[in-house]
Parts: sequence; C-alpha cells; structure tokens
Amino acid sequence: MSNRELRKFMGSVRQAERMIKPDAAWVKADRAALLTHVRETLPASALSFRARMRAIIQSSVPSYVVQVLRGPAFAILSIFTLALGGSIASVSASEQSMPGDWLYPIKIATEQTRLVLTSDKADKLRLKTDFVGRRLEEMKGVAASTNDKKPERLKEAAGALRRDLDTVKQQLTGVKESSSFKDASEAAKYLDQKSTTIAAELGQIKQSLTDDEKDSVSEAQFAAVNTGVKAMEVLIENKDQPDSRGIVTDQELTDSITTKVASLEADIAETSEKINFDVASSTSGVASTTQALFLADETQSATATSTILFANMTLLEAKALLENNQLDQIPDKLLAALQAMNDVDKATQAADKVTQASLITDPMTMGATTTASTTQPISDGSQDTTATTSTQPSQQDSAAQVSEPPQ
Amino acid sequence: MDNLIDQFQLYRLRTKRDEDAFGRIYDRYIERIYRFVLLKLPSKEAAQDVTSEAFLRLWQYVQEEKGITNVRALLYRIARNLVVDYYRASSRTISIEQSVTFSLDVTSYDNEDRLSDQNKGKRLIEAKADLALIVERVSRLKEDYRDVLMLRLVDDLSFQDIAIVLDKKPGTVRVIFHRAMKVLDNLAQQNPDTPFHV
Repeated sequence: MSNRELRKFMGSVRQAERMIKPDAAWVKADRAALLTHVRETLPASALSFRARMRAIIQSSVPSYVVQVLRGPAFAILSIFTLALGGSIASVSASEQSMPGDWLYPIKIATEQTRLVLTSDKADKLRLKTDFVGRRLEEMKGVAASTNDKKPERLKEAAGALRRDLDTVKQQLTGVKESSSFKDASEAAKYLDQKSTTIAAELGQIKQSLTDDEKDSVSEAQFAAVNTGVKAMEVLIENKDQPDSRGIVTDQELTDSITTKVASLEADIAETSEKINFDVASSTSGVASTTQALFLADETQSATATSTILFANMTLLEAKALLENNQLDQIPDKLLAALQAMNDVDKATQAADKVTQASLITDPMTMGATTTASTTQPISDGSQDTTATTSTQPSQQDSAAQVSEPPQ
Repeated sequence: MDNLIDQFQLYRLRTKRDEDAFGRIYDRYIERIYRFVLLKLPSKEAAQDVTSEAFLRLWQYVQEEKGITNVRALLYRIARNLVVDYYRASSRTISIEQSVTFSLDVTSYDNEDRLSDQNKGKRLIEAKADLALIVERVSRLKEDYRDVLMLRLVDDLSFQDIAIVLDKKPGTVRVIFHRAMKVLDNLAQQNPDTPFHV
C-alpha cells in the first residue's frame, strides 16, 4: 500500500472514528458537575487592571516570549513608570533584592533613575549616600548568608560599596565647588556620619569572615574612612562661614575627629600584634631551603613596622593639633595615617599568602621547622644576625624612617 | 482560529468570571478527548473517568494562572498522561488490541439512530476492524511513532499541537511522522493480502 493509499484509508477510518461519541446523558451530567465545581471555586472578586492585562498577555503572547522580554522590558518600564510617579510590582519587589538576584539590576536601575531625576547636587549627594547605606545592608546580608557563592557575592558587594564610596567622595568635591556653604556643610555632615557608621559596621562584619574574605571588605572599610575624612575636611573648611554656622558644632567636629583617630589607633594595635606574630614564627628555625623566603618576609615586616610607627606618630601629631584647635591640618594627618595603614595591611596580606604557599610546597620544611624550633637553632650565624637585625629595628632606624614617610 | 476562540474563552473566564466560558471549552473538546482515551482504555467507564479528570485538571491549570497557549494540545497532553497513570495505578499493561475491542454499546451515541441505520452500523464495524488492523501494525512501531501517527491521522492534530502533547519539538514530530509512515508502509508491503476496506 502506498503512502497515498494509506492516507486515504486513514481518512476514511477517521471519518468512521468520529462516529464514536460519548453517551449524551453522561456528557450532560458530567458537564453540570464540572461547571458546579468551577462556579464554587471561582474567585469572587473581579480582576484588577493589572491582572486583566496579565490575562490578556497570557492569552495572546507565548510564554517563552514573555520570559525573554521580562528582564529588560520590566527594567525599562520601571524606569519610565517611576519617572511618572507610579510603581509596579517588579520595582517594589526589587527593593529587597541582593547582589546576584535576578531583580538586583532593576534595583540599581531604579536608584540610577532617581539620581538622574534629582537635579540639585547636594540632594543628589544625600541620595547617593542613602544608596551607599543600602550597599552596606546588602553586604551584611551576604556576609550572614551560607550560600555557596558567598565569597564571590561578598567580593561583588564590597566592590560595589567601595565604588559608591569613591563616587560620593567625588560628588562631595563637586558640591563643595558649586553649592552654597550651607548645602555643602549639610551634605558633608550627613556623609561623615554615614561613612563613620559604615566603617564601624564593616569592622564588625570582618570579624566573622575568613582571611580571604576580609581582603575585599578591608578595601571597602578604607574607602569608608577615607570618605569620612574628606567630608570632615569640608566641614572644617566651612565651619567659620556665616551661612554654615550651626550646622555642625565644634563638639561634633571634635567627636568626629576623635572617633577617627581611635579607629586608626585600634587598627595599628591589631596590625602590630599580627606583624609580631608573623615575625616570631619566621625565626623559630627552618630548613635552609626556605630561609631566604623568610628573610624576604622579615624584610617586609621591617618595612611594615616602620610604616606602623610612622602612622602612629602621625596620629599623635593629629591629637596635638586637636588639642591646640588647629583643625585645618588634621584631615591631611588622618589621611596620611590611613594610607600608611592601608599599605601595611596589603603588605601583611601578601606576606601571609607567601608564607602559606611556602608551607604547602615544602612539606620537608614543615617537619624540620618543628624539630629546629626546639633543638636546633639556626646554624648559620650570619643569617641569624641578619634575622635579628631585621626583626628588631633600633629606635634610631625607626626614627630615620619616620622622617621619610613611605610612598 | 481554533486557538483564538479558546483564548477568548479563557480570557472571559479569567476576567469576567464567566463559568459558561469553561462550559464552551468543554463542549468543543469533550468528544475528541473521549475518543482519544477510549481507544487507549479497556472500558467505557474508564474512558469517562479519565475524560472527566482531564477537564478538571484543565480547570486547575486555569486556577493556578499558568499560561495556556494551546488549550487543545494541553487537553490531549493531560489526557495522555492520565491514561499512563491509569495503567500505572492498576498495574496493567497497555494492550493496543484490547483498547480497540469495541462493542456496539461502547460506541453508541443514540441507540435508536444506530439501530435504524444498518449501513452506518456496518460501515462502523468495518472501520473499527480496519482500525484494529492498523493499530496492530502500529503497535509494532516504537511508542513515539505510534503516538505521532495516531494523533496525526486519527485525531487530526497539527504537528505543532502534537509537539505540545508529546513534549517534543515540532521538527522532531515531523521527522517521527515520516519515519513512522515509512515503517508502516513497509509493514503493509510485508502483508499485501490485508483486507483493508478502502
């Protein structure tokens, strides 16, 4: 039988098959029962306009098309809708989204829209400062999560926070140049308070993180303190201007400076302790194959120690200026100390990674280290001398280095 | 055009809360779905149960506000899955021959009309016999081939609709259909004396 004949035959079969019909009585009863069920389970309230639109779209547009268009279309629509003063489900739902969520780009797009629609620079700076606060909340959420992607998301969130802090710092410069002293001072005060809070909370977040996770958070913390110092600088510059008097009191300024100095002192104490620990472990007796590596480490520690001393001296000078009410020189001192500690942190982190790598790649050294530390002091006297010298710098040496601040 | 009518009914159901709209969908497809499952199930009662359940499941889809782009294909798909569940639950194996062993009362719509039209009845019996033979041949095919053939040639669904029912791509369905026709033709040539009543 050819295909044509088969098709013809199947056509006749189909016609016959269509003579098969269900019992009319059964159909009638079944239909009535079904519609009773439908009536009983139909929602009572009429659909809202939004739901009606969704029903039309569901009925007329294939689902895969809706899914493809949903992302960018909703983002664009939310921008225009917000500009017209309205809000849609996606925009309000995106407010709670976190980095990595699919609604997060809508959240950022909404923030950008609000910034674009804010014309006054001081208002824009205040709004951006609020958004920086959101980045902190997102970081806290990510840090508290147990997601597999936590390290990546934490890095992303910290990076976003750092970038936003740098942005507000630049915006502050623009506000200082173009706005009134009053507006600039009000915005700077708000930014100073916010960034101080952010720096403190980032410090708390770091306590629950691994060493690898701390790196990116430390950078964000540095940016927060830096931005706070810049804001404080604007306050100090404008405090004697007539229309900005009363915006920030002398006591508030003093408190802000004292808080920043205390924060830096705590950082110095913590890092010093850490540096000494590193130095101590590197001189406990190791095999010669790794001694050069640890000498380099000790060299880095010496530079780190002198840098810490420089930072400490700078803070002491800032305190003295505060006592003498010479506030205008304080921001530069704080920034110098902050930069010094940032350099030490980076060097310490790099040294830690080198130490970890050397212990992993040289398993023989690990055994020798244990033995040498107790029964076999370092055999090479010259190296020992070198090590001693580099780990215990004289006061004279340190003073000389203090006078030449590290780059 | 059919789909547009169905979509309009769904729209009325969702927005106007018009229960009669669902009744109209029921009227459009009750016979087709009943026939579809009757050919696969051992009894009229089983076919009625499965048909009722298929429309109830469709209503659930509507209530859950899932996007329904093709009502007909969805109904066939639901019905097909229910037939599978039926055999799975009763631990029976699907017997194609059993599924097409009609008795006269199974196919009755109006007994009086049937009895009064002897030619129609004779034709019907012959067609059923032919169908059984075709099904017997088709049963030797792979399940996919069988399903596509029956849905296309007996239920007259488009390749697009068959793709939705079987959860395959339309292109794949076309390929399966042509291969199935080729296999069926080979089977027919192996049995040239088959008394088909063309």
